[in-house]
Order: sequence, then structure tokens, then C-alpha cells
Amino acid sequence: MRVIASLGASLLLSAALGFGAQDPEALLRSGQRWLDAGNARAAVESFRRLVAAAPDSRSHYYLGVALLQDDRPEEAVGALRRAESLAETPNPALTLSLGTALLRTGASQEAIEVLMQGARHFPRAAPILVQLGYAHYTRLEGEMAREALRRARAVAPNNAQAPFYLGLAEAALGALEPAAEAFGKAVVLDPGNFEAHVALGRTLAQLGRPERAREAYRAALATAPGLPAALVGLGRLELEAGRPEGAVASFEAALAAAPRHRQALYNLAAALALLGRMEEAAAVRRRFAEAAAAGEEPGRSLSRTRSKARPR
Amino acid sequence: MRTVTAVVGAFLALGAAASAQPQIRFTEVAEASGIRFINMYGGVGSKDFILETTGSGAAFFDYDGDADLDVFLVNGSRLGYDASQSLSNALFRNEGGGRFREVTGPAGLESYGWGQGAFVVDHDNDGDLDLLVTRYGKNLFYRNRGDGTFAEAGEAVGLDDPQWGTGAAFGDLDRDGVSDLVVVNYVDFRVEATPRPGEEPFCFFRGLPVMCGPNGLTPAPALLYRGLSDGRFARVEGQAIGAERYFGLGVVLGDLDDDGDLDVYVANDQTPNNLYRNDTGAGGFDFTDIGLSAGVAYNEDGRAQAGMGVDLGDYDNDGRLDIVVTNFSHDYNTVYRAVGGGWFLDESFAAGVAEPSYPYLGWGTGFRDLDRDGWLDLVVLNGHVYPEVDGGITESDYAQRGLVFRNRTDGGFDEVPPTALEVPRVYRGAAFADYDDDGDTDLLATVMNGSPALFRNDTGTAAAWAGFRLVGRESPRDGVGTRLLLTGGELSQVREARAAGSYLASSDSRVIFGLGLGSGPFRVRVRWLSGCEQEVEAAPGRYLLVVEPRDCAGSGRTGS
Repeated sequence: MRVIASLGASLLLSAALGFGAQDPEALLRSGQRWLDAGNARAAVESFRRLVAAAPDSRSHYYLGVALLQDDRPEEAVGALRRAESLAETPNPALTLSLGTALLRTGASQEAIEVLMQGARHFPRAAPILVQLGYAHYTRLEGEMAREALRRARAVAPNNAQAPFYLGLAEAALGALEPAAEAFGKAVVLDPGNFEAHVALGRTLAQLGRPERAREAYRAALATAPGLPAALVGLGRLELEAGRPEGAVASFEAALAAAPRHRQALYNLAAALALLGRMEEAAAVRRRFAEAAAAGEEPGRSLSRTRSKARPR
Repeated sequence: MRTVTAVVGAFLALGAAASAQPQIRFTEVAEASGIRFINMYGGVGSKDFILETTGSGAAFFDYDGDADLDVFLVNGSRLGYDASQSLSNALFRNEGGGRFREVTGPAGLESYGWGQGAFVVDHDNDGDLDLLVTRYGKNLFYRNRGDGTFAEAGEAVGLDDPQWGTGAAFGDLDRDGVSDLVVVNYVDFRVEATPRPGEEPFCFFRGLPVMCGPNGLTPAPALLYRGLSDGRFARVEGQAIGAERYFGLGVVLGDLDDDGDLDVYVANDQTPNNLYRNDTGAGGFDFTDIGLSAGVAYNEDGRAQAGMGVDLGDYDNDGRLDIVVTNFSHDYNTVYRAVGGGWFLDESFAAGVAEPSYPYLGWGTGFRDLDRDGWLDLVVLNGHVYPEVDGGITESDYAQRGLVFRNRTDGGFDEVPPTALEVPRVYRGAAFADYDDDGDTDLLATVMNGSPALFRNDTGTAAAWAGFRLVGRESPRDGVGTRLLLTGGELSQVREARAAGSYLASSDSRVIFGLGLGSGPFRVRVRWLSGCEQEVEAAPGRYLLVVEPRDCAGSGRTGS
């Protein structure tokens, strides 16, 4: 979702900077239509023909964007590097896409170098700063992530991604109050960001504010009904409040949507044990052990706020 | 869940009654007290192998039976060094008046190599304390001759296992009056079979090439030994302990289900922690790993953390032992609160311990009542594993400060204002003891490739205290594992006599109760591992010698 958002931002930047509207127009429009329609594979084919017809920076750029959207980041890096080498002047859309592609290949240090250079050339390009902050965050470089994302917020106060990632960075640094403040802003700017609602709920719960946490989780569910991470969060609140019956209901609802959700399994076993339902707890623990052995992530959305910050 | 509600109610009532607390203060006095020791442990500016990262521990124990606590410090080595290039372990005799004098050579404790932890026991119940040193290489066992000297007897007593031993804990697991032993091992490690920094994907930290592991390396099994009446130990196999391999670092024994015997909790690095419930009966050892079912194997996300140090203590004074485990940086230290029914909840955030721990990589730890208010406070020592983090590329520091948390008496902790532990060091082990016999708990911290820090507790408090020194007869003579329940004033407090715990360390096994400002009398119910129970009256301001009555075992009757 974030990658798509980044691509969207880069395309917008591209349009704003006058990319496009050059020969051969038909191939360009065809590829763009495929991209708009969500058919990245077809877009790649159109842009390959465009590259063959007009092997300039713009053509390679669009090919790179389409490859990225088609989940082929290594090839995207190749196309975007080519676009970069042919470009006469630095281009923020190209920088953003290249940084994103590098990040997707796992070359986070290279991504940061590209994005930092872009941030120097275009200090008010909030998408670049956001992506730079996110890149630092993925490397557990919380202070640097915080700096980039604060700059993004300063230049684009209405950018909804900046406070969300800033919240993640603050949480990874253990700075829960600033994290809650940032997540709060993120949900105001983008009420549909259910991940931000969940992250806000989680942070508020950690700060010992269960009622506000409950509101945040419910807001997430209003946006994304049945969202396992929000249901697990609500279950944890019930568990910590000494209401294992309610917790069981929440965890079971989460598992209905995601049967191998490790957090839900782990905490459901706890709740069942507290209720004295030991055989059921044992069965759930077996499911948890299977999920753990299979290397299932502990819960995607929630883990982004903390568990992803695993150091080794 | 009625239990949880009741506990919360108790917090509110007692919290309201709590008086203003003195500030917890320590003064670092190692050099001034005569403890001059340099730890050598692996590379200083960089480390090529995980072997170079774990560090060495320490022990407080009264090796010469003169009723004060002496200090033993473990030393390590460097890759490629032999004994002539390494530095020895060291023993410092407590001379009184806060002074120590080194007596390593005369005591027969000179030794070289990759020493890890030091663990104390009276294994032959002869009244003097013996010493196990875990190592990368054969573990050493020093039998106390009773004249101030030791004889190494690892092979003779069956404790010379050659794996990479880290944490260990002695305790009478089968309640036969003789101490048994659990040793945890870390990695099945050989230099020649281990990739070097940056050679594998698991050999990076934030893009920096660093030593590899433990992920990607082979974990090692724990060892369970039965203590025999002739002073030897016999390996016990076929038990849950040792059945699976983990990256074991910390181990502590305690009666976590309050059924009268000692259970075993193990903190593992990058692998789930273990709680081995002790169901040993007439048929021999019987352990079951209930870590997962008890809620203490993973954190609240169902995620294994990087367990290093561990301690037990009833921090909420509800009569049940809780658990603290220290973990890696950018993660949090975990407090598992016992909520009854054999279940624990990860309440690290609610307890206020998680958030401050994020920047730090934790090792030695302990629940101790530092201000004698009757509530256990918490100490955590920190230090990174990668010297390379100081290069400015990452945000971590290699040397890190320690953390001291004061118990708020409402189920949570507050980090206290700066103490001497603020000075950043590459901390590892933490041994706790009232080495100056003034009724408060002091702290000896080991420092990797540096000198240890002796933190004298200088908290000025008018609160009273009562100490207990235990001598078992049917139970092991050193009294380890004995549970004491103090009642009087506003509180009931449960403590267990324990030496091993924290990280690679052995602490003062005497029990100290903070009595707060309340007036007595304070009664203490003593439950020995033999099953014998007796009741004594606390003697504020001093250590009371409590001897287990004869012919009392299992009767439940009281003696005096």
C-alpha cells in the first residue's frame, strides 16, 4: 500500500514537473492507462516498447515505475538508474522512485544515499523526506528517521504519511508520548489509515490509557471491519482489565479473519487459561507453536509499531 | 480475574498509605575499597566472534566463613591468547571497614581462559561455600577446603563439561537435602566453523558488518545435574531440561507455583524462554517446560526476545513471584507479573519498565528493596555487544548507563534520578549483596574490558530492616530456596533465599526485608525446602541466624 502511495506521489510529481507529453505519445498514454487500471504487467510491456522507440530518461523512468508496481524491484532499479544517467537535471520523481525501488530490494543504505541527495536538491519535496524517514526507520535509525519525518511535517503539514511514520519512529525509540501525538495527527489527516489507528491504540495502551486505546481500535475497525490487529488490541485491553471472557471473544474474532495470527493465538491461550479452560488453551497453544515454527510474523500491523524494530 | 481485581484494590489501599520516599543513591567505591581488577574479554574496538561478547560475571560469597562477604571476579581472554597473555580470575577478601584485599593466589583460585559466570554452593553441606566457574571450555569447580583455600575438582565431581557454559544455578531440586545444579549453555561454537563479520546475512547490525549470531549458529542444550550425598554430581538426561536447544544465558531457581519446590526459569537469547515446572517426586526428577502455557516464553506479541539476565521477586507484594528478563536494545525488558493460577502476563509497559529500556541492551538485573520501604525496586545494567556501534553510523552506544527503578507501590516503577549508575560502561554481570552489613543492598557490576564498579548503597532512609541468615539441616545447609513470609506493619512480603540469578552472577543469599517506617512486631514464617516450617520474630537492624529445626521436615509444624 505504501509503495503504491509512493508511486502515486512520484507520478504526481512527474506530471507537475512536465514529464510526459512527448513522442511517442500513444505508447506513453497506453502505459499510463494500464497503470491507472492496476495492470502493471501490461504497463511494463507498453513502456518497454516506449523505451525501444524513445530510449530517453523519461521512458526509462516510466518503465521503472511500472516494474516497481509489478513487484520487480531489481529490474526497476536498473531502469531507474538508466533514467537517472540520462537525465539532464535532478528529478524528484525519479529520485523518489529509485529510492523506493532500492528500499524494496533491501539495499537500504543505497536508498538512503539516493533519498538524501534528493532531499538536498529538493528540500521541500515531502514525499522524498517521508521515504527517507521510512528508510531510516527500517534500519532502526530512529533519530535520523525522526529528523527526516519532522522536516516532512514542517514542509507539508497536511501530508498524512509523515506523522504516521514519525509515530513509528518515535515508538521504535521508546518515545511513547511523541508517538501517540504523531499517530493522533496521522488519523486526523487520514481517518482511513487503519494502521495508524491501530498504532495509536497500541501506543495509548502502552501509556496506560485503555479507554482512549479502545476508541482508537474501534476507529480502526470502523475503517477496516474485522481487522485482526485491532481485535487483538481490544482483546489485550480486556485481558489486562481482568476480563478474559471479553478477551476471548476479541481474539477469536481476530482468528476468524486470520487463523494463524500469532498474537491472537498467544493471547487467546492466555485468556482461556485464566478462565480455567485448560484443554482449549492447550489446543490453541499448539496452533501458536505451529505458527511460530512456521515463522509466521507475530501480527503484521501491530508488529510495525514495535516488533519490527527487532535488532538482529 | 477476581484475583487481579483484588490486587489492584490492594495497590490502591497501600499506595495511599505510602509515605514520601528517600532518593535512592549509590556511590561507586571499587577502587577506594581495594578492588583493583581488569577484565579482559575479547576485542576492544571490534569483535569478530560471538564468543567475545558475553563477558564475565562475579560472585559475592563468604569464602572464609568470617561472616562477611568477599568478592570473586571472573576473567576472560582474547582470541589467540594463551594463559601467559591472559588475566586471571580474582578473589578479594573483605577486610572489614569497606576494604578488600586480593587473595587469589593464596586461595588457589588463579585461573585463565574464557570465564563466564561464578556460582556459589555448599555442595557437600560442610559449612563452607564452594564455587563453580562456567566457561567456554571446561567448567571449573572449586571445592572449599575450609581453611581459606580451594582445590579445583571439576572432573572429580563431574562438572567439567566442555561446552560454552554461561548461566548456572544450584538448588535442591529434588528436596533430598543436597543441592542440584542447572547449567545453561549458549552456542555450540567453534571459531573455525563460524563466519566472520559480514560474511553471512546474520552478520550485520544496521548495515554494519558485525560478529555473527546467535541466529544462524547452533544453540546448545542445558545441563541438569543431581547432587549426590558424596559431593559429586550426576548428569540427568531424558528430562525437559536439555531436551531442546536454546541460546541459554540466564537461569534462576524459585518456587514460581508456590508448591514447595524450586522451579527453573531460563532466559534464552533469540529463542523462547523456558519455565521448567518441577514435579519431582519419589520417582526422580520430573520437569515440564510450561513457559508457553504460563505466558513467560514470549512477550505479549508472541515473539521471542533476546533474553540475557533474569531475576525473580514479588514486586507487587501479592505473595507470588514475578519475573524480569533483560533483552536487546530497541526492544524492551520484560516484566512478567504472576496473576494466579500459574499464569503470568507481560506487564512491562504497565509497570513502567519497558519504555525507558528501549535504547539499552540489558544484562545483569535484580529485584531488590533499595530504600527499605518493603517494596522491591529494580536494577538493570546495560552495555552493547557491538563495539562497532560507536562508529557514529548507528544511534547506539557501546558503553551504556545502568537503570534504577523505584517501586511506586502501585504496581509500577519510576526510573529514579541520576545515581552513580549513570556513568556509561560496558556492563555485564550484576551481583547484589549487603557487603558492608548496614542493612541495604549494594551492587557489584562487571565491566567488559574494564574495571568492575562497586556501587555502595548510600540511600539515606530512616526505614528499618531485618535480615536473615539461614542454615539448613534437612535442607541444604546454605539455605538457598528457603521461602520467608514476613507479616507486620502494613505489608506482607515474600522473599526467597537465592544466590544465582541476574547475569553470570551469584549474590548474597541472606534475606533482607525493608520494614518501612511501620512499627512491629514483624513475624516471619520460614518454609524450608525440606517442608519444615517455623516462625520467628524479626530482629530489626541486624541479621538473625535461623537454623532449621531437626526432625521437622514435611511435618508442617513450627519450630523456633
